[in-house]
Amino acid sequence: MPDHRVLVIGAGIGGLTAASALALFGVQVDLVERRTALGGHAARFACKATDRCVKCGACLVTEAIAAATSDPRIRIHAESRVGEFRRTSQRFEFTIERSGEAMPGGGRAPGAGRDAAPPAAASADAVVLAAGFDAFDPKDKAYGHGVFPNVITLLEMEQELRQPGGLKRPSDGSAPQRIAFIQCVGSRDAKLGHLWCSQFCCGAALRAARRIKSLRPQTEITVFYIDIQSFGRDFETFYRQSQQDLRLIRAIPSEAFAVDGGGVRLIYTEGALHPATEAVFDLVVLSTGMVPPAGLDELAARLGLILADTGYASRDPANGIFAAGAVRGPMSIADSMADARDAAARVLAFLDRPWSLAERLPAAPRPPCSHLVIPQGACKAGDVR
Amino acid sequence: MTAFRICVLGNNACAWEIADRLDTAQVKVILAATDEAGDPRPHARRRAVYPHVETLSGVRLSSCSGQLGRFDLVFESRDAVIRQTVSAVVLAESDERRPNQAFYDLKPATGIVPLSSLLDGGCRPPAGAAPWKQVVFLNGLRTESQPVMAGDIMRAALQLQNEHGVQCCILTRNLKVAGEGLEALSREARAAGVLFFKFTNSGPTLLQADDGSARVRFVDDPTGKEFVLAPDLVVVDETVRPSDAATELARVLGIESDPAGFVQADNVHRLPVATNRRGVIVAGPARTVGADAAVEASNAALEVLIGLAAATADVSTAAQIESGRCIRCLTCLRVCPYRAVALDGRPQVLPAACERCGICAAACPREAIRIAGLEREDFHRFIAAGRTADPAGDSPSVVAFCCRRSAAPALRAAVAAGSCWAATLNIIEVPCAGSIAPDVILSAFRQEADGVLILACHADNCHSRHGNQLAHQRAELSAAFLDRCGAGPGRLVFKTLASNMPAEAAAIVTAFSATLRDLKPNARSARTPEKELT
Repeated sequence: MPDHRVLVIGAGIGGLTAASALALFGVQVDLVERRTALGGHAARFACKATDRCVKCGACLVTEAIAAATSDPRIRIHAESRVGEFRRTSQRFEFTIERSGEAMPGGGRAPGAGRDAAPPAAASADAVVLAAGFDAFDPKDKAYGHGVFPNVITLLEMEQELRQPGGLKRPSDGSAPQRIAFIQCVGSRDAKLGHLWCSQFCCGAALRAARRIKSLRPQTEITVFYIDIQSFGRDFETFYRQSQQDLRLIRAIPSEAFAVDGGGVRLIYTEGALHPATEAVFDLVVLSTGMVPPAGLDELAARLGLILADTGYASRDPANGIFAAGAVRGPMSIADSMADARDAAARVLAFLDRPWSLAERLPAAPRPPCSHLVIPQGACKAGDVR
Repeated sequence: MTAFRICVLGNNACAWEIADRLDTAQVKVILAATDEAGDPRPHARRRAVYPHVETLSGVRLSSCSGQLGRFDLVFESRDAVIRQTVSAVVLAESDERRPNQAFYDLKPATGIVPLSSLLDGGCRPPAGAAPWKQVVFLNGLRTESQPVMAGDIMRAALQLQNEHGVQCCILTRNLKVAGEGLEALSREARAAGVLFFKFTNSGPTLLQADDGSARVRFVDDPTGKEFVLAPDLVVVDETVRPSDAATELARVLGIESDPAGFVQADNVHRLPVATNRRGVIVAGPARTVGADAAVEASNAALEVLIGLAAATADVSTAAQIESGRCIRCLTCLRVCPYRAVALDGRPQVLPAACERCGICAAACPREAIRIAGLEREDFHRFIAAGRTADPAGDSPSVVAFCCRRSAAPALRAAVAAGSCWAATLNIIEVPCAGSIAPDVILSAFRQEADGVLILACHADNCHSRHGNQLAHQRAELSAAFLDRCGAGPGRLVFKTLASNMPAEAAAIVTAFSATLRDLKPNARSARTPEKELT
């Protein structure tokens, strides 16, 4: 069997899944990730279980990272990017260079990968573009993000929610009693030319809201929305519970103002029949949507691709180059994983490679049960109560 | 590779896409369908000839026994029983759309049609009849709509508006645009003159005259104006459901369904196309609403091949039932989440179906089931290792039984991030929290643990369906027992976690360590004089 190599750009949930699928079929993979940590945005999402799992899929990322980092056919290049890129008659030749981008917010997130020494030059038979998405930057919206400390984005909320005990107000660390979510910030917005629904934010916001309620039932949560989108397999039930637990208002606030004590006043109108209404919240979460990642146009130019009108990549943007996951447009974690496996299948078909797992290395036998002892002495002095 | 034979159940675009993928991979396919599979719908078939695909038409699957690598299928047709042996099975049956007419209290009439009828008729006014001036679409006014439904409605309205000059009105609650291109489509429809009326808590009143014609009356939410529409046609939305054939196949194959009846459990560990039975794959419209046939097919084909490769790997490590100890109580048959126990005179484990979760071994009242590496001796050895790590014995000793899929990675990440606690923590990683038998919990206390944590996956997030519930029940029973023994409450704690909750995991251990510091050390421990007396 020929020794095929594939370059996968981006180690978010899409890139990790595509790389692992290809490696299972004996393909050698170079997985290039510009950040330090693997897993992309999804690795920074919080579990949103209430008294039970609500099927957000964020926990699947841990397994995807473990699978990719344990497969010897995947060479991981973290904090790296594709430099020069050239198509030769049959293959692609490229260099991998340091990206100089660490994890946003600093630090090494769990799952930071093995970092093989980046080769000066490498080549591949096919390329999977899994560059993911960026969260919309709401600085130009009239909600005061970046100015008022208690106006945060969905991603910032997700990271807060990873801490035990749930959300805290950035201004004073207190537990917010009144929280507002504003949906569709940067999505479904003709002024911005964003003619897409970001698909994941209704699920993220409602699931997060119900998690917050389950941790602190007294919290009052309002969700401002245009249309609540369906998510999950039992949406009707989830939506009914949300309508009971939360206040859902079909209006998008026009402006936010800071009030004394760190509160945020929102102004909204539910329709011509209703007067403009004001309400004060302790914390406002902007459900910022997905946009094509910064630098995608520049990367596309180097790869010789033409992007779609939306700014996202098309499914098979060029001969031998395949796009997977949210770089094609907004997608949930589950959809991104399925899309990445589809991309892997299309790569295998393109390589005209027998779909054989014959070369698959036998999986290291994993003992069903193992143990790890952490003696108290391993703790850092001073942290022990 | 060509030795594999895969049975694809279904005769739709997705089933043929799967056949296409497997045929390309030179894997033999039997495509079996209740209808005429040899003559698939034209759009379903990409190529004229599939050298590796054979079809079985007009057959119904009546039983499926065996395991990944070898399933014995029995089909029934009108006049024959057909037996097939295959390596894996893919359920790729269709969905169906049921009109929501009854939700709107509308009687069947010529001016009221389900969406599918309009689409099947090419989405144009009938020839010869008076041209339509106005068409009203009802979308998600009683039950929540779906993007696939909203997309079909908007495309139909756009076509009628643009090509036939019909004024279209879409009456909807939440407009579902969470699908590729749907927001842009809604803008295009609006620009073409399609009117959208959105309802939040209210809805239109539908009045039907004796001749069946309907009038629609409502107050428009944003403007407060009252509208009365007398459309030439009312198009009723539909609910997408798995077909009856799919539901029946799920029953025959013994796989779990979701609350709406789609043939895959509502469990993230089954994503994208797996089921609770190894070697049985689900894909396409009967799996979930609005799935992309090509994406589903690729996933199904990859999953089948990856699964078959894994099947041959390590059969020897599967659970084994010692026939001398087994009393045929069939507990294992009942508790196995993966249908890996078959009854052939006595219960037997199907090694290629076994996921080594350990649930059966922990549940067996005779301790007749053994899994290499997950035996009582293994547990005892690991428990003992925690005690020797702290010879001075001045910190509480905690045994934490952690599920490999959730708590173990969360705690390891917490340790890697520098979290710490005032206890010696012995993390025992198990394939499923359901593999921990009550006597194993108690043996941790017998071996001088001051406290035991049982950390499982959240409810509805167990790869082994109910391993976390079983763990919870056993923890409660053991805690009650400890309490009766006078060991004091609080020494045994059950919690659920996800793999991405390291901070929460650390907080649980910290809080537990603090609790144990306030309790007396385990009475059996060397730190107490009682030990010296015994």
